[in-house]
Amino acid sequence: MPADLREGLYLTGIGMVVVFLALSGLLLIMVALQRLFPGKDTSSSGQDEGTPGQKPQAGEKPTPAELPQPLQAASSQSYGGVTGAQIAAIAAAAYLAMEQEGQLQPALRATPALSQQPSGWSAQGRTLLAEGQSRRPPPYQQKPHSAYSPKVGLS
Amino acid sequence: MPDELLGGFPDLTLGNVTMIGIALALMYLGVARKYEPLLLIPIGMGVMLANLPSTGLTDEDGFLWMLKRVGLDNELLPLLMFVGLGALTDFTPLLMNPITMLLGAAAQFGIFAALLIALFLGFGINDAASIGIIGSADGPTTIYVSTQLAPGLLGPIAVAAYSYMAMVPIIQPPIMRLLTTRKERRIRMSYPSQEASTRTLILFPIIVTIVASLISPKAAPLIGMLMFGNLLRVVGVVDRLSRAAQNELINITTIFLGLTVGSTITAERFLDLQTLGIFVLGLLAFAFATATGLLFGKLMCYLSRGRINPLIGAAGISALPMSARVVHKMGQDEDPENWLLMHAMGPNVAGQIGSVLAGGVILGVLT
Repeated sequence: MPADLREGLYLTGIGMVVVFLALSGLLLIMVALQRLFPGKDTSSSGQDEGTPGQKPQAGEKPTPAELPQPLQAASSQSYGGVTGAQIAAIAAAAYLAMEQEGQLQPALRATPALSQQPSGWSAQGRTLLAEGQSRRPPPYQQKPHSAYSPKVGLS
Repeated sequence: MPDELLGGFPDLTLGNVTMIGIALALMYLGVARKYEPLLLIPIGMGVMLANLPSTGLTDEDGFLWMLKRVGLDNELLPLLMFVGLGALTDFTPLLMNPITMLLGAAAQFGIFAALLIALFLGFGINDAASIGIIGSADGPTTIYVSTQLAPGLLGPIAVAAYSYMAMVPIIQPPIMRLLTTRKERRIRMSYPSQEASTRTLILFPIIVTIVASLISPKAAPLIGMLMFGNLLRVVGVVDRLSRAAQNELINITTIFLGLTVGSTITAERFLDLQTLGIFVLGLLAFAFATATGLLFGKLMCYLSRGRINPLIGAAGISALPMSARVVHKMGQDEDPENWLLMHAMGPNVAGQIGSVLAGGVILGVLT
């Protein structure tokens, strides 16, 4: 067997053993850390009571039996063929759609038909003009506010 | 007319033209196909610049030569990259399900399998080890190890590693289908009932650094920087540094690393049969890593009486988070309500630690 191949086999053996042992050691350390410094319990009471010894499954929808009492009643009750859970889902979707619309509106108002303007400069000019028109001019002989008083001076 | 004007044309060789074509292909893959664009575009540009004749960019004191000298020859750039990667990595899924650590260890067999095949094909031990490390699916580790063991092969090895990482969604699924049954792929895994405490999150990177560095001192720079980045993320009092590591540092490093690696790929080094061999062996390394991860996953599934979905073993290669996403998608193809993503992230980040350790062992034995 060539020397390189022998060295390769040795490297493979030692490499896999070291990686496995090191990661196994880290595994034990992680378990110990979890025991020493336990984190917050995230399991909800409903699920714990519903199926003892079985942890919640990924993507599992809660059945009406797993829901708290008031929700259970609302969820299972039928309103003309539509269950309470479906109504709640529709309400949540409608709320999210309204919320999105609300976020869009101020942005639309802030840039009135900007795309129709021939250039950014003219859009900016129009905005300035519109802002100027909406402001009342100061009354006659009344100067705009200034910190400088010609009688007192700057002191 | 001065001699410099149009001076590139007489020096342009067929090799240069081919390499420029390869550079354009790499950039095309990044831009149009979105295959690892963050790396393939700088690498492609580096390849192009290095193969334009008479520019002096890769000559002594040229810009790319200087970048290589200060960033790659002393392994600075891969290490800085690791700080950013650490700051981007969340070890919580691993801490929540520590047993998945073993899947990250099993998948490292891909490195050694490719190493042995490369030796059979006649590569020297250093070259074979550098080729094998492609199977770690970990770019900075691959560059770090290759720079020390086979600097001449760095270019093709880095391109092969990043190309295959981008192709994880193509490479892994057939192997996953081949080695698992439909019933196994449908296994739903339970979620842990506890969160990881802040103390655990902070102590983890510190302990890993100490333990891994004592076991494999050559892995200390890599693991140390990875865990330093992660420590910045979890301590919660240096948000500015954490954000800088996650954004500015990793972005700047990616630009320079990509350009520098690209600049090492020149016609005379790249256009030969050895490069083809490296690409084939790199693919085999990925395939072996996926297969051993899956087989170990099957073993764990059997021992846990069907509580562990063997698919998550495929995420033991540290192509983060691509392989975890592939596992998740594969699970959902069989059962749309099966959420494996967080379960697959455990072996995925374990694979990151495992690949660094494997790289450290290889360097420890061979240098």
